[in-house]
Amino acid sequence: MPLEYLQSQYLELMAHLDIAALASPQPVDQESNALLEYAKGHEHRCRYLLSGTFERCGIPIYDGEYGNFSHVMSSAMHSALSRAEECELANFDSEILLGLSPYSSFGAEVVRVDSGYLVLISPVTFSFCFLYAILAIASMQAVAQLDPKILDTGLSGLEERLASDPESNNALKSLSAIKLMFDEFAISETIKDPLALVAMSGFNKLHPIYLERVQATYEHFIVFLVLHEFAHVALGHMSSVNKVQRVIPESETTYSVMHPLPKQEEEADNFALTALVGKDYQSEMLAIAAHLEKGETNHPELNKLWSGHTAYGRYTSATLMLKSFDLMDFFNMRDAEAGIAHTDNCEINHSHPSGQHRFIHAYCSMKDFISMPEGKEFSPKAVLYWSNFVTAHISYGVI
Amino acid sequence: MTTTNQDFEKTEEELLLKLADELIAAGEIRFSGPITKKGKIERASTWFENVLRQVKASICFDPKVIAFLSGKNAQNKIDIAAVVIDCLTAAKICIPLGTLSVLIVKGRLENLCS
Repeated sequence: MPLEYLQSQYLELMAHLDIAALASPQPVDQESNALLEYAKGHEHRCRYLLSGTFERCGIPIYDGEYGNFSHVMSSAMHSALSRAEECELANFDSEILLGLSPYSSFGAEVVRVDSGYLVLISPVTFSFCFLYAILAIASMQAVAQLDPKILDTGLSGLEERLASDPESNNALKSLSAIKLMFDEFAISETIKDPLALVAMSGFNKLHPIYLERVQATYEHFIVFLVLHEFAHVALGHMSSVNKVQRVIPESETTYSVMHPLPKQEEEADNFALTALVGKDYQSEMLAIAAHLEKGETNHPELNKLWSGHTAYGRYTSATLMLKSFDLMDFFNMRDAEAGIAHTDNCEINHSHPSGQHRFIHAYCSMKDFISMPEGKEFSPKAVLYWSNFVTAHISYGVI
Repeated sequence: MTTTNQDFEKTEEELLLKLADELIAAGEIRFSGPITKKGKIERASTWFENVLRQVKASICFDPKVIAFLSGKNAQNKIDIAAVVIDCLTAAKICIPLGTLSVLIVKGRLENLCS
């Protein structure tokens, strides 16, 4: 089936929605973009931008012109496909096209069409992922600077103790930036002033290598989402029509599905984690472990660890993405009318495992995806430490 | 396959939410995360409009549909839903067809074939 045919189906599907306008957004004033100035001053120029307008966050830089998300999408498609092929997971029964979805809500999705599949990502997803990557990385670094003793005296008065210590105060502000982001996004599906959140996060105080870490994390987020959708195709989830007992609906749903959807979502997460990590990582990770064991935290070879360009970095990015699902569940569930609700099985809407479950599953399974020789193990404890602070701050209001 | 009066008492929003669930269950569409009611309605509407373009001719040129639209006998809407189901089946629409047929007959048939 020629690509042109699939593309025409995509355009037909989107025909009544103004896709051309989405692909060519109007330029906005970048004069006051502090992060842009920061990026320009860095030796390795930033591949992406944080726009003062949330809807344009994450677009690639071009001299003298404004790009659109199509370049990010093209890069994500190639990256996802090559990762799936490397792990011999690209077992698709038909062609797949990646496109920009016309929808306003966060997320990726895969749609079956006559001759193949369309993987769609909404523009706001790119913006969300880029801003979240900045805030999450900045916040992780800020939380890592906390004196562990600050927790020793218990939770009573913790907020005051944190606020009175400069390092702790930075961490608190950084956590607040994440809270404000999810709070506002759950209500309006946009962020009025993303640069204010970035300033609050303390991102501009970080070592320049974390700019690269943010870029890498952002790309991993998008590739993870695409791989998750690839998984539904490769694992046969899109053929579940054969498993549906076709009965005419009367007053209530009367069809049944043999394989519960949340289980398929977990399978898709596992597929995406496997492909994102890749196959040939052991020698690289062992070399990094050797430097760390010698206490060489400044060795140049470790830069790829700090900047996120390792199997560990890719896995960590995926766990951050899954943590964002947990946070989205929390904020969406405040509005009973939103249609996001837990089931008795701690699943959401009978369609997905809870974000909390997805995060914990990924956290606990790292050794299964990044298999190392006996005695060597990389732990995502830093992510869990950060996650606990985020949860304490957002969900329980402890700090 | 039959539809009932109960199906026709549902609002378009309720029917679109039901259609979205059926699309997910049938493997027509899958999402990276849980989706809100608003998101479900958006997706179901887009999918529905696309199907309408595919099946417009076969539905609107069916003699029973033409007769129904000229007489507009509300009592016949369940029979017409059955005719629409036949058209959808012929078009190889791969989801349970009841909700879809009710959506067409209840809210769109007249405009679709005008």
